Amino acid sequence: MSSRLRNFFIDNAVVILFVVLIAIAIPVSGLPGTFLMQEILTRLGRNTFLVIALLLPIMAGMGLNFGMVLGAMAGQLGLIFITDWNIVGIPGLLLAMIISLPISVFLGWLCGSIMNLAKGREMVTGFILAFFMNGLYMMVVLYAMGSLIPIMNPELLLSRGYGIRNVVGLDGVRQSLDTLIPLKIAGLNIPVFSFLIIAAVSYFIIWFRKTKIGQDMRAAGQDRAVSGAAGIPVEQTRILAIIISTVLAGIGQIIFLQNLGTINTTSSHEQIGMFSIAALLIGGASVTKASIPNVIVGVILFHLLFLVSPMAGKNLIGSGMLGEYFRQFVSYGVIALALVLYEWKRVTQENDSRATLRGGGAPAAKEAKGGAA
Amino acid sequence: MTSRSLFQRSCVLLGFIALSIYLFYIGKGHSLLIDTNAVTIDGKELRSPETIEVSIDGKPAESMGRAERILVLVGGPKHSITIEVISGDDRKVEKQFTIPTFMDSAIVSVPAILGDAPSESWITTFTAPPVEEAPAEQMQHEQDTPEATAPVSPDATGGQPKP
Amino acid sequence: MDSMKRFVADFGLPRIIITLYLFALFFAAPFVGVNLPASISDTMIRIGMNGIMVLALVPMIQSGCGLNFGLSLGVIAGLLGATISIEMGYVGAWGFVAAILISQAFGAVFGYGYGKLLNRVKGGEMMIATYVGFSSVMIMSIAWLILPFKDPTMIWGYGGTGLRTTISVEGFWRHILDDFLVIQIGENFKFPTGAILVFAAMSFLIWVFFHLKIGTAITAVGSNPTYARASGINIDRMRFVSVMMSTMLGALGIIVFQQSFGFIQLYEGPLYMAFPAVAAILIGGAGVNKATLTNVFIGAALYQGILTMTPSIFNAVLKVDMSDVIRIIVSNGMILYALTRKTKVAK
Repeated sequence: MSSRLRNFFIDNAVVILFVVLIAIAIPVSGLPGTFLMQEILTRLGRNTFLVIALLLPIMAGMGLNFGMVLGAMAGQLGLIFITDWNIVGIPGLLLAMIISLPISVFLGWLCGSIMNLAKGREMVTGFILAFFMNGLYMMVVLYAMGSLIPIMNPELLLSRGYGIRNVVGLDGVRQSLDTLIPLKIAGLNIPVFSFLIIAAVSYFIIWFRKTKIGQDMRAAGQDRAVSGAAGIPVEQTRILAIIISTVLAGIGQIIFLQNLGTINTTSSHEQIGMFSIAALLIGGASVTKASIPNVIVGVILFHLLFLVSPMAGKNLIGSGMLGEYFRQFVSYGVIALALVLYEWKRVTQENDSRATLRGGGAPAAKEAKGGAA
Repeated sequence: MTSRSLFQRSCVLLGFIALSIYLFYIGKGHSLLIDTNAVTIDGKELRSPETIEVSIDGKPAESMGRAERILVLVGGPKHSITIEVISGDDRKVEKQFTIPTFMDSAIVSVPAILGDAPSESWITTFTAPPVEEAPAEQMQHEQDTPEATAPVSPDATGGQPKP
Repeated sequence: MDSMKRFVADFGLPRIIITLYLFALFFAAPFVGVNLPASISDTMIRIGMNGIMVLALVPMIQSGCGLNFGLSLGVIAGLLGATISIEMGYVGAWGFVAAILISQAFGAVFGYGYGKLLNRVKGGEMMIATYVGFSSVMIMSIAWLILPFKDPTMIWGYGGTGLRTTISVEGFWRHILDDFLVIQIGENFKFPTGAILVFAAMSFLIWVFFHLKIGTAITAVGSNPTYARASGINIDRMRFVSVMMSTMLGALGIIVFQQSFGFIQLYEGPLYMAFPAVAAILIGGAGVNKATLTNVFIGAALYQGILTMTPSIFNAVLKVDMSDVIRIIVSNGMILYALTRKTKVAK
């Protein structure tokens, strides 16, 4: 029994740590409760979709999809086009999503194929691929748009005549999803429609896991060799997981930006991968296992920390930058921690199974492997 | 790929294209300039009443005097305008109008609507004066524009070059 | 034709493209009015500046720990060395030596912990290195804010807290290596003898090290772990030594970089410092678990050459500064290429 309790603490160590941290930081920051509640509701509507985009690659055994930034780029391209054409409101957002769709599918296919070339190193490959594609994205946005790709609205262009401005205002579509079904409870604005979309995509993920392809994906994630032998097209399944993740990231980025109301052309997408991954991990997910509750808990905890740490830093040593650095440290640190825990576990299990193999205990080794999955 | 799945895929693709065109049509944003300047139609000069209240698509009403212009941002082709005359004969007119998809800025003439002029004359294209004349003003105007849903206060038209 | 094919396969298509691109840039330079001697001189200075950072990657690649994206740990040690040396008031050569000595002490401490950590996570080093590096940079950013530095050239005046974002080393040890035995030809050409000499000396030491017993053992661990284990080499120890070396070389590298650049960049400055070095060594022909000194030299020369030449040529021809975008594409494309190559998987 005590070992079960211990396991509970070990399994939820990250969540517990952050709950304690936030419980300390909220009083120090001195921020009022209603403000925090409102912000958390807004940020749940804004970020949850993006974090959900990470779930399928984890199930497919490809780890944290740092390549989701590619989808975010596709989403931003869609938004830039509808802003140029001046399509407003919900139709504008839908059109942006439709434009982002083929770009996301192509980028996801590319990302999945490249990751298939680097099996066992998917994460670092996705991470570098995101940087690489960022270069191409900048090429398109800063040099091709307005010269090769027609942009009608001169207000969007830099003064040199081509290239998109650093900041694109999304006045026409700003918060049109969040305010579609207005609801106010106890003075708090609730983005009902965004929540409905999130519920729908969560349902899709849960449904997808149960389909034949979903089961294949899970099998491929647990043991590539065995599922390949069982006739599962492992490589295609992995590519599909990344394509879905990229498409969801594209839509997620559009939802994210419609809430913010502006695009930072060259930087809005850059940190989205890191923030989403950090949020998911803070919610108690690991490199091999993540669920919808992890997403929700993670977004709430991560953004609470995000909100209170600058003020807490200011009140502690009088510098807002302290909190800013602290929250960046937390984002990076939690990813480092999760990766270390995952690899550590894997290495230990490998050593154990090697030891048992030498001792001739084949069934024990098999069990250890099952645990790893 | 079988011919059946090819057919299905083509249908999906065509569906998406059709949907895109439809979304473009119903989502295209327009800047409406509600105008109370006197107009001459069929040799008859129509003048706006002293004070009116104008509202587009049921948004909060704006008060307007003579020879004024206010900017309203809308999306989609079909809109309704409600004009309530405050001074003189107290009457309220509600009319529907349609904006061509590719007309970015349109002038909506209040006197034409009140004067029961034919509906073709209600909406006219607004062409901004050549950019060389007032580039700074032009820029100013676009940056000051608040989000589409909020009505624009008359002050915001200050940057709008008057012909 | 066959040998040509083999050459392409060995050297790798991206590398050939990059080399040809650089030659094209140099060839085009005189025709578009770019000052070639000045460009070559700039390239040399940059090689001296960055060479040791590239060199710092060799030990970890050789021991099978992969590309050291966590080089920022070494960089942080170097920053600590530089700032503490200035704080203690040393100037000139003594300041420079003090900075190096202090940075080596910190490098050893950081390398110790970093090496112990990486030994626990064999197979997942690269991603962990990246994020350990990132989070250390952030922890140090907090430290720069609250550490009790007093020297007025380094701290924010008037009400700010902590150290400045960039600290000039002018008046301390700016260009101390670059100007040592400098060869100045005409107005535009300057050969940074001191920096290049130090780079060469360090390379020679590394060369010697990898011909000693311990060095060959490290190479064996990286290239054939099974064989290494069978011949009784302590794998963890060899990996640990290589990580220590890499971190300490990184610390030295950043100080050499600073004396040439003229500034110490604190806070988020070291965040991405590892990436150009990694790109350089890969362009030079290294793989994820094999690197030679030749790779370092060729890589540093090609990469720095591209960085110097691209902006000047593009500005002259197209009146566009695309150099940043090209740098991003070239360096990350090269890393991506190396990651996706089928390498013998180290187990």
